[in-house]
Amino acid sequence: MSENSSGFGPKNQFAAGLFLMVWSVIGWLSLIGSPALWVNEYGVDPGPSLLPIISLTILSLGALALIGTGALQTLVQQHARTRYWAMLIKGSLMPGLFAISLIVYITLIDVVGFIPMSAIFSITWMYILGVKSGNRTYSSLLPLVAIGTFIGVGLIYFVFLYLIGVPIG
Amino acid sequence: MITEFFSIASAVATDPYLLGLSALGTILGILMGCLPGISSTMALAILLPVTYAMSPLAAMVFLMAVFSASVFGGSISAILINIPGTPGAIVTQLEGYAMTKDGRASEALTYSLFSSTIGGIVGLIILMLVAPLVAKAAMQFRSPEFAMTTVFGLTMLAYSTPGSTFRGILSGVIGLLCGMVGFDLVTDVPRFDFGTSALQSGIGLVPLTVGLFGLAEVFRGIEGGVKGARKTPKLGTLVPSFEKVRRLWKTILRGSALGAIIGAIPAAGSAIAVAVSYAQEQRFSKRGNKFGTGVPEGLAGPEAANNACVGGALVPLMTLGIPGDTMTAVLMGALLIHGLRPGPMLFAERPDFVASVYVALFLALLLTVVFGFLLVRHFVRLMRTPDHILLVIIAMLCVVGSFAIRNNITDVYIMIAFGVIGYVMNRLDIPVAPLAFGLILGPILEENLRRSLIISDGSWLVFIERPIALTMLVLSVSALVFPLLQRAKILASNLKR
Amino acid sequence: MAFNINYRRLVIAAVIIILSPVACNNGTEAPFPSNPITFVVNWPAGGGMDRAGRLVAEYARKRLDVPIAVINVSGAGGATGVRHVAESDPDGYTVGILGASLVASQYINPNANSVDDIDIISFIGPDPAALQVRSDSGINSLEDYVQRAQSDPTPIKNGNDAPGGVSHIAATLLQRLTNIELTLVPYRGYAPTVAAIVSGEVQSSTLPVHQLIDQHEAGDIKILGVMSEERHFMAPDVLTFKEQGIDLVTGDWRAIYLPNNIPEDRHAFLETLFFETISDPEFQEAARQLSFFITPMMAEETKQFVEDFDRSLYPVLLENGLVKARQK
Repeated sequence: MSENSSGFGPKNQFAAGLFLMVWSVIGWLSLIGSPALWVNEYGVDPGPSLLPIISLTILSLGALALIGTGALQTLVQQHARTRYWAMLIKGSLMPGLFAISLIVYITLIDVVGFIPMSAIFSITWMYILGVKSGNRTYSSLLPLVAIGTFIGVGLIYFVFLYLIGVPIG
Repeated sequence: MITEFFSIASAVATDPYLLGLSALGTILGILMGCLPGISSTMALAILLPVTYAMSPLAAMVFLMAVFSASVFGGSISAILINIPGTPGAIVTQLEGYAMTKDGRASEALTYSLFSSTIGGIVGLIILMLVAPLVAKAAMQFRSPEFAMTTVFGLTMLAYSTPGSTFRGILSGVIGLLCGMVGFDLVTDVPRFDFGTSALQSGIGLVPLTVGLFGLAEVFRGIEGGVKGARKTPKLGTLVPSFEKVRRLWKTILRGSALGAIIGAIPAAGSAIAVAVSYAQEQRFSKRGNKFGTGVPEGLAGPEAANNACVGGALVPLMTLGIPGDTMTAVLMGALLIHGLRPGPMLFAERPDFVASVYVALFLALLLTVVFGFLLVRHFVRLMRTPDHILLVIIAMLCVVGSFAIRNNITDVYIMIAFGVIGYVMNRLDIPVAPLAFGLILGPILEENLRRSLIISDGSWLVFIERPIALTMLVLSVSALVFPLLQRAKILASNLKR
Repeated sequence: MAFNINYRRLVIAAVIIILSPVACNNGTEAPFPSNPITFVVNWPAGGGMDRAGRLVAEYARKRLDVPIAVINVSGAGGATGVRHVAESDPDGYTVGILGASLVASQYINPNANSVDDIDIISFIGPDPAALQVRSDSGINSLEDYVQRAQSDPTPIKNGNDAPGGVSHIAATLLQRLTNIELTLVPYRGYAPTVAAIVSGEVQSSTLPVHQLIDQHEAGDIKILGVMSEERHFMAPDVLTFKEQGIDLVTGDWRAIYLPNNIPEDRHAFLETLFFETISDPEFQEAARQLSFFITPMMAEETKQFVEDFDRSLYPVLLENGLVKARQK
């Protein structure tokens, strides 16, 4: 099995399989939930559900294979405890927060306006990330954040909103 | 044709107004092309009204410059911030961005500039010499051939993706499924829309790639505590040593030839050309197993192919009056407004006009090199911005860029969703590039497969009876089966031991 | 040290820029229009609708003191752009261009807006469909075509849009009115359909006149008839369907519209603005170059036109099982 030799850990196999399985479950649910796709009156056209069924079948089988090998390897090999799941979730904490704040950002652009909202978003995150990177003093961070925000937001505003007239905010 | 080409070329070369226009178009093209969300098509459409008052020749000189330069611009963002500006640049970033992370951004940009120019020129030469022939060949390409070529493109990709082939295929299947979201072409039935109007227009390529590659990379930078996400780029020498370039000659020529031929196939052109070129270089290169970590061959081949497609895409427009993609459709509009209707008549009766298009493209290619070299240094310098500033600006660019492509807020949510998906896939070691290709090629495959069956009255034999389709099918099957056989042999010998 | 001073200046500049839009809104009411107007095209950049929209906007701009920004809001077969305009503030600063897809998608797509959700203010012109055949098919007239379709056991393959698209509707109407059976082969947009008939994958097509005019003149393709009231200026030698005894008038068209509930005076201003723009001979000349038929109409007439179009379209959609959203 090529999977074995490519150096994926059993828990990685399991997690990747799980991820793919989520996709295929959502896909199957949606497919079953749309009766219009199952009407078979298309004549020589194989119909709109043929390729979805083939794709979802491949995806489900592939996901099962990954989950299966992952589970088997964990049972057989008695791997050293590698806090895989905890690491996975801990590492995703900041990106997750960032994603949520992005959604808040675009929802509020309509209310607050593009420039103020972008400035708030930009200053906040540039500051947080700057502090996290830790190699700067607070006083040197502020001007840098201000310039970054000014240039970044200014440039995006000028090109996209002013020149092209993109109706955001 | 050749005499007209040279007489017009000398006229253009001595006209400061036309040279200035071309230069302006080149700079605008590079700048617009490198911004996520401004596609080549959009750049052309936005600048089109400017040309209404110009002479047809001036308009062509200007728009060709924008066209050709924006393709290179798309590679800049692919290499520097992992956001492909055009479908053809999706492969560029596999090696290009890997080189940037390694601090070799200016080297990557130079390879890209160099190979795209050569690719562009080869494409142009083929366009000039054998356009009617290529057009005729392209017309042999009908629905069954499209379907099988797409299958071939998909297999080449699955086979060459960095990382596990098995996982690459599954990732490509997710892309296929994403491509099915929205109204079905043949029956107009909505699929995978979950009952919302938001998903009815389907998942756009730009929001998907901006999220999957660009935003996901921002997430990754944030996760790594910002430090050590990237090496600070060295400015380095811009012109790579003669020896380094010489080693890439064959790669570039192979890529160019592929691009010029496959690029003439409407719609699928550039995406398939770069996928095939990447797979091919991986095969030929001694460092094939290192692909994905910043191997110049994996960058130069597809870049040459991508730009050779520019010439290829012009073939159906010039000879038959059929715009193969949206970019050439805008160019066609520019010609129409001046009373020039591209097509067989114009091609036969106005060689001077045809030559002027070639001259415009040639000039654009030359100026792209000039301004490319001038600008690359500054672009790379931008990358020296501290990460905590840069990542936030890129994130905002992702938001505005994905919105700007259709001015639709749903696209921004889709972009963020794929940012998260891309990040998760990175963490789980599932390759993401096949997903993007699945999205591009999936609809082309399905549409042509089903149309072939409608035309053949339901007979699947149509894919075997037609020689080109059969060749593609055989190539795809063997590309999938041979590696499996090899693996089986290795497995068998392992078992014996 | 010098750096610090620069920083301070930049910070001040940043604050000013950030606050400036807040300060701008305090002025007194200026005569309409005092702000840039957004012009929404409901199809992607590069297509026919985009070309027409940008041309109208370009010429309307010359009559105004404010700029017009053209944006493409595309998706869901044109329905997304219509929704964008329908849901924008009714202050006259958002204008859009649309076509026949509006009428079709209100029945096909449960999430699309209906004709009543918007206010159509002026008509630009029709883009009539036509019937084209390959010259090597040996078909020379509409009569031949119908005869061949009725007698030949293998149906003629016709290239057209997806169901609900203009050229698909034209093909369906053709089948109904002449009692023939065609194999309708769907393509995504006009350019692939053109390629299909030129390469011989299909034998006929129901595309707009200008799509194949060059091939018609070169003799590879023959246009058998135009589905309009009068002959097309680009092919004056081609008879209309009506002249050949078949009462078939259909095709795309283009019109300018606003969201509902625009104040009276602004509505009148915009209606006149666009009517005058479209009536401008200079605009019409440019539009002809782009092969657009121009027949300007004011709001009243346009609404009547759309109503008539709606009435002729409904039975076709019903027959194809495409009436999924609202019944009539």
